[in-house]
Amino acid sequence: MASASVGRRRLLILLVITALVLLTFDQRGNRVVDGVRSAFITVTSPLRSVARIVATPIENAWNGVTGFDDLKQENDELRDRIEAQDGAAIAAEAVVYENQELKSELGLPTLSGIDRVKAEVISGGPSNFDQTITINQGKRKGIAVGMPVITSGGLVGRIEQVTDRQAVVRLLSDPESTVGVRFASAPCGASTETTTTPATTPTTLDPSTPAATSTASPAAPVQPEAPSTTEVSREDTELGRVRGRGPGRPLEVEQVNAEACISVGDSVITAGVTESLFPKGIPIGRVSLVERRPGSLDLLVRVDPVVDLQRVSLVQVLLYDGDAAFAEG
Amino acid sequence: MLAVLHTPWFRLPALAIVVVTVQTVIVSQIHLLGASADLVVLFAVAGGLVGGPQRGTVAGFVFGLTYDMALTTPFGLWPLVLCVAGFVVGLTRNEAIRDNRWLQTAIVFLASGAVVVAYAGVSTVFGSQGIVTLRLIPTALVVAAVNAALTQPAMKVMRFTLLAGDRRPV
Repeated sequence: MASASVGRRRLLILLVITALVLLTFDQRGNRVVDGVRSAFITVTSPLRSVARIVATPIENAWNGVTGFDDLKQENDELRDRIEAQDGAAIAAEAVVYENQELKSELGLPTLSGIDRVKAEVISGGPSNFDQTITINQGKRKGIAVGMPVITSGGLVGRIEQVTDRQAVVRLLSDPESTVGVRFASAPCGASTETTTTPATTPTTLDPSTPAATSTASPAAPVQPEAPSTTEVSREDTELGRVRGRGPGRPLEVEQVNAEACISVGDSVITAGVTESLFPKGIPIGRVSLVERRPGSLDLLVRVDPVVDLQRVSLVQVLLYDGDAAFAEG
Repeated sequence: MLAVLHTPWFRLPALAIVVVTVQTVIVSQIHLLGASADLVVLFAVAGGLVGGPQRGTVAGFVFGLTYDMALTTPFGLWPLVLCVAGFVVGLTRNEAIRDNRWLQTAIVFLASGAVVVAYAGVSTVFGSQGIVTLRLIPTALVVAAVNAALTQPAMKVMRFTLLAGDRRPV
């Protein structure tokens, strides 16, 4: 067996210290590290393109062989869901347009008023521990770090890195990804938790495809407006911060007031609070678990994302600058 | 000037860029049990097996650094884990292992699985969340199994890369 001589150990210690220094720089948000990463992606871009051309048929063949049964079953389930949602979509369409009309009359921002860039996903997560996807549009189309990425169903994530022609999107399922959210569903039956504002129906992401809205909220797309009976606002009590928990796992909403009135099936949308990177009203998912923990000030809330984050193929990048939006008031 | 092209100082970073590109563009898109193989780990471990602790440490660091440039995970984690892995695997290198392919395969299997688990652990220590889950088990097994199957080709490539023009015993 080879021995660990002094020289070898010194080399190991030197490289370990170097790695720790790099980690420290990265944790403190060093721009040099970000620049190095962007430069590497740009320089190796031609090599990646060639590799992608070679890889696509191989991937397709592999996925065809290994995923055929799952795809067939999923296809059947989706047909059932589409049929169930057709009726709800018709009712939702009218409400969404009415809502947008009212907002535009009042001069309030709407999602449909934000410019967007359509993009194709060209690569999934590059490692087992990296919850990102790469899309085929970049700075040339006006995309910048931090911009929200959506599908017609709901939120996918945000731009993490961007080069001229490509961008890396950090998925909502990444544990490093957090988004301010609020709950948008029917008001609670209890008198103390009725609302001063009507429950929000998730705003459609694409006015040309209103059915997309019903995908985000199939169970209760249209909620009756609640009368103003108390001074407790839903918006004040039912905010939270959603965090990813890894691929294929439900998201977790943190910092939800234990007094909040939330139940399974409630829809979850971006809150669009001050300094948020995301505009208000992008659908995220539906509550799948609510647990009141004794002695805790927060509720445990889990959310099933409306978008299948493992199978995203086409996305839209909202050209939304959160800082600028709030600077403008 | 061209002599540089035949030294490990050129070959190692060049190989690292190619391996990381193949890993991030091709291999990571092919899933088995919800996980993908990891060629970067394979080549770092093979570097230790071929070159011993010193060259294994350097190979692990270079592969890790290149890998981190292509990812969005904390920068410096992969070099940290892989240089230690290259060193430890390099320490196991002896005459018996050098001539026994089954032992080499077994070492790559164990080391690759251990690297995946170690990465998840170190990553958690540095503040990443949601990595140490049950999903880690199939991930470590897939990485270990595929890497073990590719041990011999990877060792040949690493022998060419690390021992270029050097006939001295390592």
